[in-house]
Amino acid sequence: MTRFLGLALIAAIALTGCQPPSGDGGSTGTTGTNETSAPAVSNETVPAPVEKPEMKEEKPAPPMETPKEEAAPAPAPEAAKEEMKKEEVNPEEAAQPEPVEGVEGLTEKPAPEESAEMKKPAEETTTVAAEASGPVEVKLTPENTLIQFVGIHKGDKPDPRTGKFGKFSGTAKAADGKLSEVSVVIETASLETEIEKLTNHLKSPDFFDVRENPEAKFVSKKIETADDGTVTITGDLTLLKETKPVSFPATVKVGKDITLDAEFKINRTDFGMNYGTDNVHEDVTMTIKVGK
Amino acid sequence: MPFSGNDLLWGLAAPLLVAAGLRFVLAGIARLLVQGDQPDTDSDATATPAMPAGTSLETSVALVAGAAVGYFVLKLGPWVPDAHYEWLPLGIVIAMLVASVVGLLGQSPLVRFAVLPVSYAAVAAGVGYLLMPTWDDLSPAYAPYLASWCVVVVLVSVTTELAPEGRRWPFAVVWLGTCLAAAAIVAISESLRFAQIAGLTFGASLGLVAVGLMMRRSLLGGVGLTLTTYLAGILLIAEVNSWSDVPLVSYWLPMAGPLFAAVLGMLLPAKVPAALRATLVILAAAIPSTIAVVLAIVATLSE
Repeated sequence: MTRFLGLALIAAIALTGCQPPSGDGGSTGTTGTNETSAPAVSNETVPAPVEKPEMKEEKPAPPMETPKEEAAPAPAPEAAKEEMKKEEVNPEEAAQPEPVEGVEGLTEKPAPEESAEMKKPAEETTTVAAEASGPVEVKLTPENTLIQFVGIHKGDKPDPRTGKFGKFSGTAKAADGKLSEVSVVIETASLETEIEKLTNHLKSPDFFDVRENPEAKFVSKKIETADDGTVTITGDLTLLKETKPVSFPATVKVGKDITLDAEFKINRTDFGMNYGTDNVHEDVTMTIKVGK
Repeated sequence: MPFSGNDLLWGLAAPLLVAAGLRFVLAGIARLLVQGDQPDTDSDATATPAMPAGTSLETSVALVAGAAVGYFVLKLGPWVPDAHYEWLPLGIVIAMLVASVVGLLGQSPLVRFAVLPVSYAAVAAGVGYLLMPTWDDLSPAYAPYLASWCVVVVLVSVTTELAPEGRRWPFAVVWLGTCLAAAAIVAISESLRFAQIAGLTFGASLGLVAVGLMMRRSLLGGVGLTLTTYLAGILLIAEVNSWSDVPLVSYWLPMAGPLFAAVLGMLLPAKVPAALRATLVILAAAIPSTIAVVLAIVATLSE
């Protein structure tokens, strides 16, 4: 009996000693407490938190403890802001099930000691992002996308004229690291050039006839990726009430975001834009940049 | 974007030659078929020559044919209309047909003061309905804009047809100047296609005038409804489709020119010397057209 009581006493003392300190699990703990309460292993599966940019802005360079972080100093405040902007533009991507170390802009985040062994050099994080295979969807807006056209005059003075659209919406989707879908609807009245008279003329029935045709749109129908990585996008382009298939090559990178770079020509007369063919070439060079 | 040689050939020379050639043929046929179809004396600015019954057909058909050649060769529009502005050629053809038929009915008071105004008003209403877009943001609003346009077309076309001044040579100058002013304003409003369509009237009218002078016939008598519908129509579609700063008044003033000239011609006493009369009539049209062009230029200087 004495032995049993002795064992019970020892067990009670041992259990009391293992209890966490009062208030340790609450949200008001110190920074040092937070560092230890986030296990590194969770970074592999938990989506990157959306609110990180704000936190970084307030504390751009927290004290680093691991050797790796000492080797990679925190970026300058300007650089940190740039990274924050990227995160803010693409909040949905931040919620993708990607490893935290694969998300650009989070490399300067103070990491717990336990995760040090998982970290990779900063230059490698981009590579990992580019190889992401989860579904990615990017909203195409004038802030992240350029839709530009260049018309050239015939004769000795080509005088190329560049125009672009200021209002449009669309999406670019990727799956398994490959571009799968692109669609965009353009408000034709938002076209602009550097010359106001030219802008007005292009909006007139001579060219885009924006009153009668307020929208132009492109919807991809087939996207093929060659072995060398070249992507060929085929889809229907609707302009001036005419819908015609167009196909063009593009350089595409799929990661957390989608970047697309394409330059191709369309024949404006295919869409009924017939005016001024004596003076202006039928072929119009289109430049599309997503993730500009 | 300057006009090419092709534009000048088919936009000016071809309408001129086609209109002149066709008028020559039609006038020749009229002289053979219609007794009393003798040369007019409208080179006399003070005389009030009678207009032979076939004059409207002769001038209107030739005018439209000349313009049509340029329109279709230069591909200024489709054969089958779709957009509101593409109905203009059909509207002009309707005006030409009605003007020709009414002209063939003669010059009786019933025709002049009942049939002609009513039929011209019907044409204006129909063409206005075809041309006026129904956009929600149309400014001025659809109903008042359409009503105003129809009233102007009826006023100008009926007045220029009924007024003796419309058959005299100074009025050919009035019409030619109005054609140029309309083309200039449409060009300033940054639609070169519409400017070319407007410019076709100048070439064709010039051809009519040349044959009229040669055959001693009314230079541009009988074109009131056709030319008014044409010019007012192109000014309307240019205005509603323009993104320039050209003011609304610039699109309306040119059509006031023929109206002012015709009314002034009726008001001037017969004893006014011919040269002075011609000068005043031409000025009555030139002043509003000039103001319209100047206003358009000034408004777009900052662009």
